[in-house]
Amino acid sequence: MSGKKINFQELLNTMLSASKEVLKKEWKNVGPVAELQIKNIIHNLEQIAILKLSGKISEEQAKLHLTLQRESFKTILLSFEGIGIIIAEKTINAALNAVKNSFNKAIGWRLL
Amino acid sequence: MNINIRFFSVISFFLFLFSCAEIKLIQDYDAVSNNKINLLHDKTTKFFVKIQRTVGLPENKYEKHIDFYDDVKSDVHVLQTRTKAIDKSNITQKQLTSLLTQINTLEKLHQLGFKSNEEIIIIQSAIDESFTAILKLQIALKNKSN
Repeated sequence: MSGKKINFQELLNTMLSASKEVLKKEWKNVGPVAELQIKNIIHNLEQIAILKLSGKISEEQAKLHLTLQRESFKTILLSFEGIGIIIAEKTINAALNAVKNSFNKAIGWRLL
Repeated sequence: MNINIRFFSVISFFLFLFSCAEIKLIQDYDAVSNNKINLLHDKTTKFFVKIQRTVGLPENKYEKHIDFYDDVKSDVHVLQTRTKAIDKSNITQKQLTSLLTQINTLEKLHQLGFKSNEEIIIIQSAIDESFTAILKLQIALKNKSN
């Protein structure tokens, strides 16, 4: 994409372990759904980065897209009993922070 | 002695009743909310079909769709008010707040303009995921009530 290519599997594993760390108790129930959602997020973040690089969206629009992705993940996590707003947000932040440097480096600008 | 026995009997009776009672952690099913959420999803899906078909045309402009935003935002507000009146409805309330944030973000993106269908597909996929999560909970509540 820029200098470095996005390694999907590496991002997925890192985001999964970061989420698991927060959702220790709930992971057994949430794990499969979280994995599917994280795969979607990585795919969508990649698409957002491509749209920005091709000039179809601005940096401001890309950040708004990121908000949509975060809220979507939050709605899903909230449907599990025992996961409140704080834990949901902690999980999303942990997952995105864990790949922040490698993802931003790969796309060549700061999305996360 | 008799007073003690009576006192412990009363306490035991209440303890028994308490142990038999179902401790409810989540709201009861509400058919009206469920229908409204389905209608809202339907409205949003039709909107996405329309804007995907009109990318690059004047009909795609935000100004032509203000009614849609007014309509769905008031739908979510009505749902939020109804849900707040239902006991133990914290999860649905938070999900609706998150959905409203997504609709507001969609509106901001629309104001900035859509240049491609790829962009709209990404937005729709995020909002659809949220609707799925909200509806899944409603279905689970419905099944629990049957």
